[in-house]
Amino acid sequence: MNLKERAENLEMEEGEFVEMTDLFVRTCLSDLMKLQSAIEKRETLHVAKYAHSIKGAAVNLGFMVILDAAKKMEMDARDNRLDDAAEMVQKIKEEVDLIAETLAKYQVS
Amino acid sequence: MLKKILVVDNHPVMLKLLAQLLQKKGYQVLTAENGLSALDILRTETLDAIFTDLIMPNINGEKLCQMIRRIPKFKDVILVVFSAVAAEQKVDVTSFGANACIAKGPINEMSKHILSVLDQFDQAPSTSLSDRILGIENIHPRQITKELLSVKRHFEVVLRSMSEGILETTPEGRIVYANPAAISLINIPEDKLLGSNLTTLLPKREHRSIEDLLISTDTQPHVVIKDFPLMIDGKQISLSLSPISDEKGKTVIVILNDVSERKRMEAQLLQAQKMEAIGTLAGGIAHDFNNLLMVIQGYVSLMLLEIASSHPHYDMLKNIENKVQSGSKLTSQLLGYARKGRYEVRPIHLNSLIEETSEAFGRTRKEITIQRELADNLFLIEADQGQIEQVLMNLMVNAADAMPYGGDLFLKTANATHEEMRSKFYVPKPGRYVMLSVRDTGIGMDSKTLEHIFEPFFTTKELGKGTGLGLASVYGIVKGHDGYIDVESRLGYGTTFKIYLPASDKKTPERTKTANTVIKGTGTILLVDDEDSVLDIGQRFLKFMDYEVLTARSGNEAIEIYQKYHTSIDLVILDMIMPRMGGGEVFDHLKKINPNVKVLLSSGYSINNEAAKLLEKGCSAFIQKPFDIKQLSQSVHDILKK
Repeated sequence: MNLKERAENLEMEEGEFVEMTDLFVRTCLSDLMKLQSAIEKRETLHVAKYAHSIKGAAVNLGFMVILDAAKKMEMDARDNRLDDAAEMVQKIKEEVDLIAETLAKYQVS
Repeated sequence: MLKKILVVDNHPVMLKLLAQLLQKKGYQVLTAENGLSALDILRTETLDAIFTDLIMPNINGEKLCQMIRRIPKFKDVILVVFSAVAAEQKVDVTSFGANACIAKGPINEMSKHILSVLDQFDQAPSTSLSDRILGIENIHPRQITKELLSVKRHFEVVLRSMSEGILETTPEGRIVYANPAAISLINIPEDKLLGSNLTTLLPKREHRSIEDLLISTDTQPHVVIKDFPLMIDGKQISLSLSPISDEKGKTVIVILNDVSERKRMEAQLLQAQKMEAIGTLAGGIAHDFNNLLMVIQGYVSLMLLEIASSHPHYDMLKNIENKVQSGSKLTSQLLGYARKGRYEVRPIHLNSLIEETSEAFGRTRKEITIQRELADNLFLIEADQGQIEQVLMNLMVNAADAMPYGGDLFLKTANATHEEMRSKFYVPKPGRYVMLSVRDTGIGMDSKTLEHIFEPFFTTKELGKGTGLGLASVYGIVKGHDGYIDVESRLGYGTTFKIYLPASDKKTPERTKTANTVIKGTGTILLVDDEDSVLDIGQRFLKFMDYEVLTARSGNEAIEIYQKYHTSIDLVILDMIMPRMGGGEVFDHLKKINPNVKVLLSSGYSINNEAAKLLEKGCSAFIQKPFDIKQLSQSVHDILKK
C-alpha cells in the first residue's frame, strides 16, 4: 500500500492523509469490536449501523476493499441476513491490519 | 468572505477531514458530533455556514435544519446537508430548510463541491442550489435504501399517530425527540423543546425526583410514575421512563399520558363516596335529632299558646323555639350538602319564592338594600321548595355578611338555555334552564378562597359565626336538582353567584302558605308515631285545633285501628320511619282498606327520597319534623278542605 499515492489520489497532503488514516484505523477497530458483538447477538439493526459508519469513512479516504465489504454487510443486515457477516468482518479486519502495518512502517521511516 | 463554519457529523474521520479542509481555506471551523452539541453551539455562536450529516444519533440532520431555520439569527445562514441517502433518494432538502445537498463520497470529490458551494454563496448570498445534488454522479440508487426509508417513514407515522406523548432523552434528561402528542401535551414548540432538559418542564419541586429517576434508569429496566402524576402545562401527566441501549450508549424513552380526566373522575368518585358517607351520617342524625327537636318544639309551642306575651317566660320560650329552628337548619344544611333531603319535589315558581324569601330576609337585615329584577314568564322549576328556600337564604346571608356596613343585593332571574351557560367547569345537559343570579357589592373573595368555598366546614367567618355548611349545602342542593352553579368574585368589588336549574314543563302549582295563626277544624285524625313523646305532642296539638284524635304506636296498630274506624277517620298523620313496619308499608295497607285515604306523611328524614315516592303513590302531603302547631294546622287544613 502506497500512502503517498493514495494521498495524491485524494488531493491531500501525505502527512494529512496519514493523520486521517490513523484516526480511521482507530475508529474502525473500535467499530469492528462492536460489530462482532452485534453479530454474535444477531442484532441486525446494530450490525447495519456500524457497517454504515465504517463504510462512510472508508469512502471518504478511498479504502475500496473496506467500502465494498462494509456495504455488503450493511445491505445484508438491513435484509436480516448475517450469513456472510463474519467473513466480511474478517475481510475488513485484514485490510485495516494491513493499513495499520503500513502506517507503522511509515512512522518508523 | 465567509468566516465561521459549523460542521456536524457523528463520524470523527469526517469531522476531522472537513475541519482541516475548511481551516486550510481560511475558515474558522467549529465541530459538533451530534445534534445536541450543535444546538449548544448555536445558542452562543454566530455562524456563516453550517454543514451537517443527515443520519445522526439524537437529533437527526433534517430536524436540526428545521430547528436552525426557526432561530432568527440563522434565518439566512448557508445550510448544507451531507448525505448519500438523500442524494440517492433525490430528497428535496429545501423542504427542511437546507440550501444544498452534497453526496458523501471520496474526500477530494466532496472538497470540490464544498468549496464550490461556499464560493458561490460568497459571491452571491442569495444563490440557491436546491435544483441539484452535488456529487450525485458517484451514487447508484439502491432498492434496499428505498425500502429502509419506507420502513423508517412507517415508524414515523406510527409515532406521530400515537395518543401517548413520546420523548427520547439522553441519560442526562436532554430531549432529542418529541412526537406531536408530546409537543401538544407539553405545549412548547418543537424547536424549543428539543435540546431542553426534561426537568425544566416540571415544577421545581419535582426536579430532584426526576433526576433521580433518570439516574436509576441506568440500573432499573423500567420506572413508572403513574400514581403521582406531575403537573405540566396545567395538565396532570403520568410519566413512564424506560432506558434503551444502542450502539452509542443509553437513551431514555419517556411516555407521557394525560391523566387529568381520569384523576378528575377519581376525585369525583371520592367526592361522591364522601358525600354518601356524610349523607348517611346526616340522615341518621336528622331522624333522631329532628324527633328530639320535635318534642322540644312541641312543648314550647304549647306553652306559648297558653301564656301571654307579657309573661316573664315568654321571651325565653321564644328563644328556645328559635334555637330549635337553628338546630333543624343544621341537619338540613348537612343533608343539602350530601344531595339528600329532597322530600317534596314539585313545580315551583321561583320568582314568588324569591319575593317571599327576600322580603322576610330584608326585614332582618335592614342595612342591605335588596333589588329584584325578576323575569316575566319565567319557566317553572321542579324542586323541593324547602331546599330552594335554603339555597336562597344561604346566598343572601352570605351576601349580607360580605357587606358588614350595608350595600346592595341584586336578585335576578331569567330564562336560559344550555347554550348560554358557557363555563369551563362543566358541560350542561341540553335543555331549558332557569337562571338565578345573586350579586352583592361586598368585599369579594380572592382566588384562593374561591377554590374552597363549596367545601364543607370551610369558612372565612370568625369562630362561632359560621358553620361552613352554607355554601356547601347550596352546591349540594343545586347538584341534587341537576343544576349548575357559577361564581365570580373580585376582592373589593363583590361576588356574583349564578344558579341554573332545569326548567319544568309541568303546570303552575298551588302555592303552599304558612299560617300565621293556628287554624282550627273538625274531624277525626289517626296519629301514628313510634315515639311516645312525639305522639303526646301531636295529640295535644290536634286537640288544641279541636280535632278528635286516635293514636297508634306502630304500623300494625295503625292498620288495626284504621280497619275498625276508617269510615269515621278523616286523616291519618303517618310517621315514615318506624320499627318493623315503616310508613310506606302502612300506607299500602291503608290504601287497600280505603283507596281514598288521606295521609299526611311526617318525618325527620326520609331515606332515598321515600317521601317523594309515597307522595307520587297518592299520599296527600308531607310535613317535616320539627314542625310547630301553626305549620301542622295549615297542612291538616289544606288536606281536609280538598
